[in-house]
Order: sequence, then C-alpha cells, then structure tokens
Amino acid sequence: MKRPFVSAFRSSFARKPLACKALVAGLALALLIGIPTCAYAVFGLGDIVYDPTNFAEAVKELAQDVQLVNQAVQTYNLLKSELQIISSRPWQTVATALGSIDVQDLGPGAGPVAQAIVTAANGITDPRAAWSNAAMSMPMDIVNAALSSVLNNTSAPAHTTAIQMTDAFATDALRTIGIFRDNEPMLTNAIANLQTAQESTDPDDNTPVAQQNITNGVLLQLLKLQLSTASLHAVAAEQLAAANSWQRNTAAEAISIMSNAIQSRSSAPADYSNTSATLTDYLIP
Amino acid sequence: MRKPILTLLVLTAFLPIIGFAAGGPGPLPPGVNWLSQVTDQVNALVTNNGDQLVDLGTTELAFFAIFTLVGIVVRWQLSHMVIGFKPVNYTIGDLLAFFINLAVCSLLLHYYNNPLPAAGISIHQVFPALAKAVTNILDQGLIDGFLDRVRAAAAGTQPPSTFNLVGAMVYGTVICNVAFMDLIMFAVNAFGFIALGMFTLFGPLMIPLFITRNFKQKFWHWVDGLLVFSMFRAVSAAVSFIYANVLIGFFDNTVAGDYSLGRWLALIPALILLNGGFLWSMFQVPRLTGMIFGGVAGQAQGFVDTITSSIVSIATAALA
Repeated sequence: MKRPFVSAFRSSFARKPLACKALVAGLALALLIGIPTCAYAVFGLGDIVYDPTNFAEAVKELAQDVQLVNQAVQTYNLLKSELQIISSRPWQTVATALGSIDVQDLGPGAGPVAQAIVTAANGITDPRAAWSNAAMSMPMDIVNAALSSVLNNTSAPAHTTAIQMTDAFATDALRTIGIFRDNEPMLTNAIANLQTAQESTDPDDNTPVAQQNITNGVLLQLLKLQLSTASLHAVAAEQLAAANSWQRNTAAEAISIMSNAIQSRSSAPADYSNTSATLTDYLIP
Repeated sequence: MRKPILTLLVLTAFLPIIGFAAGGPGPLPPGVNWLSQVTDQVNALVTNNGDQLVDLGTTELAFFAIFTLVGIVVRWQLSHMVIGFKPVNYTIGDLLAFFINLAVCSLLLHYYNNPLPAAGISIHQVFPALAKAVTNILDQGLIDGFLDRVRAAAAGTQPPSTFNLVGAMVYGTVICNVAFMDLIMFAVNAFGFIALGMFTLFGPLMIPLFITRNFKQKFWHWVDGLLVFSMFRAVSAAVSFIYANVLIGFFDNTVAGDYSLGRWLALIPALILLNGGFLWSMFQVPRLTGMIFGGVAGQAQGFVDTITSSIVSIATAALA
C-alpha cells in the first residue's frame, strides 16, 4: 500500500531536482542556526561548555523535523496527484428526460377539448378547466335530489363520490404532471451543469472545496428531484385510489346483487315448479 | 408410515379443487306454478264469457236455421219449374237432414257448458278429458322433479366475481340454459292451454255453422283445433317424459351437485346439446300434435258428410 506513495514521492523528487536541493540547503541552514551557542560558566569568563548529550539531542530533533517536512511534502504531492489522476472520465451517464406530449399525437381531427388535456399535461393550460371540459358533466341539482330519494339505497351515491374523487385526483394529476414537465428543462440544465463541473479537469474545479460544492449541488438536486418524484408518486397513488374505489364499489354492488338474489329467491321464490298437477288434471270448467 | 403421509399429500393437493366446488343451494323454498296462473286466467275467460257466447250461438243457430229452411223451400219451389209432365217429388230427406243437424247443434249448444247426462262432463270438456286420461297414464311427477333440478341449478351455480369475465360468461350461459328449460316447459304447455281456451270460448259460435252448407268447413276446423289443442298436453307430456328423464340423469349423474363454474364450463357443450335437443323437440310438439291428431277432424267431416248424403239419397229414392 505504501509503495505507490513512496514511488510517487521518489518520482516527484526525481522530476523536480531544484526543489530538492533548495530544501536540503534550507535544512542545513536551519541546522547551523539551531546549533547551541556558547555557554558561559558562572565562575569563568569566556569558557565554553560543550555538552555532547545536548548536542546529540538537538541533532535528533532536527532530523525528526526534516522527516516531518518530507512527509508533508509527500502528502501534498499525493493529494495533488490524486485530484488530477483521472484526467479523462471513461464512463457515460445517460438519462431519459421527460418530454412534452405532442398535440399531433392525438391524431387528425382531435378537438380542442382533447388538445386542452394534452396542453394541461404539458403544463401550459389550466388543468381544472381542461379536465372539466373533457369529462362528462352531471346535473348535480337533479343528481343530488335523486341521490337523497330514489337512489338512496343504491350504488349511485358511492359511484357519485367516486366520480367526484376521480375528478379531483385527475385534475391534481394533470397539474402535477404539467408542473413537472414545465420544470423539466431547468432540471435537465441543472444536471448538465453538474455533470460538466463533475467531469471538469480544471484545477479550479478539482480543489477539495470545489468538489465538495459539486457534491452538495448534486445532493440538493437529488433532494429536489426526489420531492418531484414524491409528488408524482402521490398523484399516481391518487389515481390508484380512484381506480380502487371504482373497483371496490363495482365489486360491492355485484356482491350485493348476488346476495339480494339469494335472499329474494329464499323469501319470495318465483322459480317455475310444481306444475305436474296442472298438466294432468286441468280441465276447463 | 410413509403411506399415510403420501395420502395426506395427495389429499392436500385436491383441497383447492374442493374449495372451488360450489356446494349447491341447500334446501329451496317451493316455487310458483306459473302454468296454473295461466290456466286460472283461461278459466276466468271461459267461465265469465262462456254462457253469453252460448246464448249468442243459439241466436246464430236460429238465424242459420231459418235461412237454411227457406233455402230448402226455395229449392223445392224451383224444382217444380220443369218442362214436361213428369211429376216432381219433394226431397223430404233434405228436411230430415236439416232437422237432424238442427237437433245436433241444439244439443251441442245446450250441453256445451252443462254436463252431459250420465257423463258428468260438458261438450267442451270431452276432448280435454280424453287428453287428461292419456296424460295421467304418463308419470307427470318427474316433471316436478325435473323443474326442481333446474331450480337448484339456477340457485346453486357459483356466482362469478366482479371482474371474472370467463366466469361471468359461464354463469350467463348456464342461467340462460336453465331458464330456457323452464321456458320450454312453460311456453309449450301454456300455449296449448291458451289455445284450448280460445277454441272452447268461441266454440258456441262455430257449432251453428254445422247446419250451413258453405260454412260447415269452419265447424270441422274448430273440432279439429279443439282436438289438436286438447291433445297438446298429452303429446307434450310424452315428449317431456323422454327428455325430462334424460335431463334428470344429466343433473343427477353428470352435474352431481357440483355447481361450480369450472364444472359448468366443462359441461357447457353437453348442456347446450341436451338443451338444444329438448328445445327443438318441445317446439315440435304443435307440429307433432297436428300430424297425429290434425287429420281426425277432416276424416270425421268426410264421414259425416257421407252419412248426410246417404240419408238424403235414401229419402230421395223413397220419394221417387
């Protein structure tokens, strides 16, 4: 594991001999300055006291400092080389962007109501008006009167609620999809910018702070994309809830019909039976 | 030790099949005899209007009798208009035949709704009583048994779930088929009884036509129809006797109480086959009845015509 570092260090010094010499000269100067000066004894003027132990200690500390500096230089060069080691990106990241629905895809002769639905899904027109115009309207004054009287004990109230729920969820879905489509160019642009920065080999873009900023930008973009995805999931869940309500009500109605038939057959039977006496004994009076 | 485990495993494999099988409808309440509803209305129609039509028929008879008598007299007078000296005999046989026919018509009208002496039935009940006797020979109890099985199939067939398209189609097919079984049994017999009621109701208007020369055919047509529709139930009972036994065997041995949709899906071809044959045969009952009993009235008409003409011939010869 160390070998790459050592080799990198050696290769670095091998590539730059001037820097190496300057460094050695600096260290020698520091060594000379760091040699302890003469100590004057208390009772003898001009006497030089030489302490070999103290001198050896100083030399040892100096050698340690030189080693520390060498290690720092080695680390610096290693980080620098690692930041620039991938000069070209061999991978490719692709994504399918959500495009707009082409009105032409509605086919020839599509009316303005259908076009309004498409443009609402593209985030251009009012989704509520588009859905309201496209869906079959109900005369609610008549419907409510019937629901509270004749249709009270039928499946009609549940189906009416399902219709209204479907209207609300469909409008919400159109709105959300429209907004998502509307924001799609900004999203695509942001991702492209992030990708450009991430793939950049410019030293300014490869500083640790710049890379951290790019990472933060990607994470923030991911959070916002997740928020949009959550909104899309929510409207999809709404659509499922509306569809489930229809299926549930239809199933409940079918089971009720079957149960009613069984109960009716038991309480008020009407099946054809017991006809033999009539067949044999009937005589017009 | 391994055998019981293997047996249990095999039985476990069959558990879902048992779970899907419909257990049948359980005990069913008695149904409705819709045929008696029809016959009640036929009775009401004939009873409420029968006597009035007999009165109308009596008036009609008097009307036709006068005109027939006038016709005879006119023929007598015209027969004198001859050239020569040969004396002309009066054909008293015509008059005798007229009175015989008049007496027959009067008796038919009188006893049309009143019981015949020593017989206990009226004229309009003669053919239906004959048919009743024939029908009683056949065991009609099996018709009820057949209808009960049809009812059980309709009530016990496993209902499909809401979005089960195949199940819904199978269920609809089965219900339609068993409904057709009821329909066949009901429609053919109900039509026979209704037609019999119509012929009975309008009989008093047909009887006076017997004394006429030109409309006598209508009287025999009426007799023909009365006989045919009286025997309708007998032929229907005979055909249904055959098919009811076949279909009871189908329900008891083939369906065998399993009214699940899967079972019915497997049995639909056989069900349609049997039901189709039953439907075809039962709807041939009118034709079959006509083929068997339709010619009788025509032959009777020829027989009576022969007797009448013989009487006239004898009378003419006696007077000659």
